[in-house]
Amino acid sequence: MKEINAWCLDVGDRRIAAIGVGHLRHLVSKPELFEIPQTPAACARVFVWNDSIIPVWDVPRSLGVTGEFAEANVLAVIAFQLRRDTSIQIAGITLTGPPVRINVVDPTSCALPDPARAWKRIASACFRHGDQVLPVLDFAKMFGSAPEIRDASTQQLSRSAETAVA
Amino acid sequence: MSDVDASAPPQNGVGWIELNHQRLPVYCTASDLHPIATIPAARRICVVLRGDAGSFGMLCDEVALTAAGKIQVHELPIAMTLPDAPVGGLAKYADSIACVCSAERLYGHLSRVASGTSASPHAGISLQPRKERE
Repeated sequence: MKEINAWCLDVGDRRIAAIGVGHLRHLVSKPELFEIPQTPAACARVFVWNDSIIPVWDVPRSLGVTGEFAEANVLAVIAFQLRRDTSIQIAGITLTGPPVRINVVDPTSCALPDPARAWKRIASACFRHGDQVLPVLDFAKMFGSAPEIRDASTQQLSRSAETAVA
Repeated sequence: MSDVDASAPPQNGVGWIELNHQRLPVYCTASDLHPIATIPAARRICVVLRGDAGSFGMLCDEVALTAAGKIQVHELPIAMTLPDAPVGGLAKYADSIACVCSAERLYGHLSRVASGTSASPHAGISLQPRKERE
């Protein structure tokens, strides 16, 4: 029997996603974020965390939502490694509310929700929890490369998948 | 500002300034670092920056000198990098965040991007990006 312990994140624009429990380091209510000019829409803001300046990801924007940033009620400060032999990195994800801890037994994997191509750029898997579809955020995809590299590799993966299907 | 000749401005610029017998292009940007053609009233200082490609003027609201050793510049996180973007680093400065640009990167950006037509409500060339919450 397989079991998943995760945080369910309300990332805004009525979208939800999941991250592993071990990744969440801290929650900040009403964070003070700073917008940096001429940066990618999905990662255009930073937060000062423990004397460091960390990048902040906006999931709706990476799914194509445009306009002003939605109000970030909560900032999830997350920790991750790009590879096992690299140092721990810290980043932030804006949320509309506090995350919810979930425990899923024998999760059923499923296809990424729409827009699937955009989700594929930031998620590595997806599973069902009750009537919810939960993409699992992939921090290496989000924070580990420059946007054009990230998009190019995703397009390459998509093309490979299409070729495989064909 | 009275030293800036606004007639026949350069592409993306607002005029020219003469310094040491050289005629230098002058730029004005909104808070998103896009060039703007309409100069906000508060933009009264012209700072001349010198890079490998030459010197140019930037209109500013305020200018402060800071010793390089007094701020710690952090590299811009890789997820925030775009090709040819002007901001190369970030630093904590005066309870805010300063965007760190080299003169070369800034000049390259200003001479490349398309000119805007009006100032944004947050127009300014402050090194500090706009805070979302005041």
